[in-house]
Amino acid sequence: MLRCSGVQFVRDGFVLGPIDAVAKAGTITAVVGPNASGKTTLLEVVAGVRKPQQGTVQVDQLNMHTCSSDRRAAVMAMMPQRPPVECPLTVERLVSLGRLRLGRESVASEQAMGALGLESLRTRAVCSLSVGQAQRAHLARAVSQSGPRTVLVLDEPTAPLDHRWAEQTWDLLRGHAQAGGAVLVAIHDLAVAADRADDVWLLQGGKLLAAGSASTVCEPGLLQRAFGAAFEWADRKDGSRWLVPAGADQ
Amino acid sequence: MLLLVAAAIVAILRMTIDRNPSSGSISLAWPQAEWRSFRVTATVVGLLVGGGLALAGTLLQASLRNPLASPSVLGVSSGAGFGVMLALFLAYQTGVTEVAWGLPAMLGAAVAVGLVLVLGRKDGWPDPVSTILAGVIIATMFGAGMVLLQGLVPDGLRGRFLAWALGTVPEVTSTGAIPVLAGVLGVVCLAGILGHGRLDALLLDHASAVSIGASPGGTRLACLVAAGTLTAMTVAVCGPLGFVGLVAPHCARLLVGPEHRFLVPAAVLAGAALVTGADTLRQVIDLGTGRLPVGVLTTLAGGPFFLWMLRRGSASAWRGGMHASV
Repeated sequence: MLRCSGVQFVRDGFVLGPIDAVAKAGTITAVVGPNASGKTTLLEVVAGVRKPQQGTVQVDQLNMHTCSSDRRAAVMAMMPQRPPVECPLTVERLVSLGRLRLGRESVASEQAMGALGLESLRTRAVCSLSVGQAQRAHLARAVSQSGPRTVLVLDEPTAPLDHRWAEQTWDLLRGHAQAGGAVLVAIHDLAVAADRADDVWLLQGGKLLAAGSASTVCEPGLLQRAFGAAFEWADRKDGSRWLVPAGADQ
Repeated sequence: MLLLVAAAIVAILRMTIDRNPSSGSISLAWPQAEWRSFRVTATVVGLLVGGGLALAGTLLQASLRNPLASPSVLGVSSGAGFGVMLALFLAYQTGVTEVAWGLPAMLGAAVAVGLVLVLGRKDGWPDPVSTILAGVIIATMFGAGMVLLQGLVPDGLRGRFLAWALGTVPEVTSTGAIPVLAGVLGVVCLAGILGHGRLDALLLDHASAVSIGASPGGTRLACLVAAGTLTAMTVAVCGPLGFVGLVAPHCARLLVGPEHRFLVPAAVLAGAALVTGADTLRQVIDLGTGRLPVGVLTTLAGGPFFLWMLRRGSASAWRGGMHASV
């Protein structure tokens, strides 16, 4: 379980927090909010890339900002927004770097590459791939680093992926959650967030506007307040509901 | 390795050119006994300096995630060179006859690295484009400083300045220069091979490198210190040899790929072969008179290589044209 307690981070006049929220093991938690609401900054603070001026981030009682880098790498894996496509390493080497401090377990790397369809690209340099292929390679690196109980922190993982690989990625994340891990994922697409995530953290201007189950947080009134735009739930033929901009054709 | 051994043997040999216009052939012979130690010293220095500059370039390219980074492009060579020239100038002004070149070279290199890091930073991390731009400006400024100092010293010292400033592999070195350079090169090379995973991790973005536990900040700082030290030591011995630190790592990358467990030793060998080969070529071109600085050859060869890489863009530069783009 990932717990943020009173997390506050200030940079260049932008104030993030204080954030008090929990991402439970066995669930997918989506971080949503308008542009410049602090989603990426929050994920970087959570993953130990940036140190908060106040508060703590803990994974199962382990403080992410005071523990060793090895211990942090063992309990949390992060993929940032727009990882470099100009990386000269081969796909195989990039994915294996996920195990750099965790011991050589080629099985994890092979499984990650297999799950994201990278076997045939394993000897290619990442900088020779398309943006979507490179994204899958970086995603596989993060997945290869994760174990059954680890926290996966992903910033817009499906943004450059086509429909097939976006679906595959969500299935992969659901599998990780079902195996006992936690997933924290920043995403712009509210409909997908509401559909795929169990819980949602809603940010606005660096503040946590709401945190809870997806159906609770993705409430049209709250979304109107955060985004300045109207949303509504639409019924689909299979009986499920889908979040859409108000007035859009269904 | 075979290329390196061949280059070393040829470098030790004495070159003679048949001046008969009808044949114009080049012949090789062992130098006379009294000259042999000079050629052996020059060859050993060439091997160590070439290896050191290549390793410095490899570390800079990894730590700055920039395939165009090298000691000369980033102004580290010029900074070290300026440090030496300033020390010589101050020694001349104060009447001191003997000056140790190592320390002023190190200080100059440290100032250049520091300036590049500060001016090339964007959002807290070294930015590839800003870093190169800052390096070019710093190299130009230190170069201008060297020219200024040349104008302030008497003719005799100016000639020594000029020969050194263009890069020359010496046939006589100060006591201890070779063992110290060999020792530092060996330690940094071994550290690079043992820490190849952390060097590979530097090729990721900062957040990913932190995520996998690679401590990129510390690794990057260690790389910059090691590269600055190696550059300063080579500049103190040979003067600035342009573009060796850029060309050699890319030649090695073409042969063994980008992983540092192979790249680090391969780049050292490539740099050693490059400088030794260039010094051998110098012997042929200047007909053994010793008037042509080897740095002129490395710059003439490396300059176009740099422009070619700049034109190809960094992604192509990293992969050296080995793979087609999608």
